[in-house]
Amino acid sequence: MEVLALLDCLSAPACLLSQAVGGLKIGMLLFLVASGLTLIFGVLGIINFAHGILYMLGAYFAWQAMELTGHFGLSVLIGAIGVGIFGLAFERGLIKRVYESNLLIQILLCYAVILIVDDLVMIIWGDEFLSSIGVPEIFQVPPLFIFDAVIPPFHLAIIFTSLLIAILLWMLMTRSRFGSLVRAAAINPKMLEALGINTNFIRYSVFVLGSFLAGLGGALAASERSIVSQMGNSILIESFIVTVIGGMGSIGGAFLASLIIGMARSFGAVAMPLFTDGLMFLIMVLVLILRPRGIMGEKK
Amino acid sequence: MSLLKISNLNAFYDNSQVLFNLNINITEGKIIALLGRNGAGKSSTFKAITGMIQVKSGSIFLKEKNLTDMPTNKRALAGIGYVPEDRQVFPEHSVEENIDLGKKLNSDIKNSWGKDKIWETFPVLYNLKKRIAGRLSGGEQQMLSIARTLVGNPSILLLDEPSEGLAPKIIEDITKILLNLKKTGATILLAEQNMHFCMNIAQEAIIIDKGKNVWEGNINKLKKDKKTRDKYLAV
Repeated sequence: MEVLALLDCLSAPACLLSQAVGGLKIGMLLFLVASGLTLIFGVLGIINFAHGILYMLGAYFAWQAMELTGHFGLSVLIGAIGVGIFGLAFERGLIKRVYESNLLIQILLCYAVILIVDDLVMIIWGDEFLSSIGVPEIFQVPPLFIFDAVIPPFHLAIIFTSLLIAILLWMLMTRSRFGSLVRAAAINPKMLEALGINTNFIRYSVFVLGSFLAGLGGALAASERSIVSQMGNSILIESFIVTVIGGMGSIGGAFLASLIIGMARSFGAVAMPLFTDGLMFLIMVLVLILRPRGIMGEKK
Repeated sequence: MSLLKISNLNAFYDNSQVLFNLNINITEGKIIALLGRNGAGKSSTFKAITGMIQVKSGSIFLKEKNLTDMPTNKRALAGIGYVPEDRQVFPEHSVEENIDLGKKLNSDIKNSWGKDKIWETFPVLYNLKKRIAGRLSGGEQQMLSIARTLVGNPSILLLDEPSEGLAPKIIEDITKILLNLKKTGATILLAEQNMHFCMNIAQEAIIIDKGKNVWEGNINKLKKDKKTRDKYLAV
């Protein structure tokens, strides 16, 4: 472990700031994906093992839209909306049939969908890495120098966009009738039905919202990373770690846990470059030992 | 005029039959006590009316509308208002949010219970409207559960053991509320083990035993009929 390197970084404003911005970017993108996963689990009681393919499809849809339109913002939006529509078909066609089934059946269904979609993606777009969709023209400018830290403006744009989405999501869940219905459906869907509410509508709306968020995460990530089939696998594992650390079903917990994981990855790269993945699992294990329900999870 | 008509109803929890050829006819504007010992089938009757348990044969009509095969939420939109035995308020929502959840936005039922009228009828809830429902007392939760259902303007209110587990003073408060509802001409089916609670409120009574209706008539007649009470209601 490079303790001295970490201490040097923490005491140097340039390193501290650039690692913090990097951690925020990783954390906020992770939040977009993990918030959908935790929302779906909280309301539907389904652990969506196929959540990673939604992220991957977001990247592919955005890449395809970029090829056709050449417009970054429009491409990201098409990527997210396309995945939302895919999520609707996935929930109505398959997931709704296994709500009452045991976990094994749900896992098998999700795994089958992962394999099928991964293969379809390779048939449609090939098995080679596709290059990133790039950064919009407005951000193709020299980086900012703040306290000697090199900060690409596009990273700040990703952080602020994701933060804005997080705030909108929080407002939707706490300030709107839809959010109130979603929170009630997570606790007692049968009583909600007895009050005249169509809980099926809530279920698929939540699945679509979760899919949209994962697609948005994938589309935004496609701006800087290459795109390939199975790229959803690692983000799925990270999203599960976030969900466990934050507390299953808690959006606030997912936000906090995403920031923790983002920072752990960013500063972990300085302190223990060969153990950044292990560090995430270590944090998860510590949370499971000290607070098994997660940072903001409800007592069952 | 008959508001709710249940005919030859056979209902099941999985494979166990709980209601056997049940027949109930509720007239509009009446409060009817549904009496019976613990396990007689009172809650099952309500669950069959709301669609929460499986009905294998028989029919349930609300006015001319056949509810028998409708999903639970459509029955509520048709006018069934259900207040469950264990209140089932949403514990993490505030009192006001719980009441808002009871509003039916896509229903054509006449809107006679606005929020102002709810606060007027339940002043205790008005004073607690920002409080999280999980932190209310049992009596307050019972009032909230009734208010949440009323705000949906039901044609008939199914009240499942509203006095259960409550202190005498709270039971008195709930009695007053139900008597006020009686004055407005509300139709209520009131399931109770506590016959005394129903005496001042209900005009008629139905006794069910082992999932069948075994007696029905004026509640004053039941008051005088010690033999029937001993046979079906004595613990």
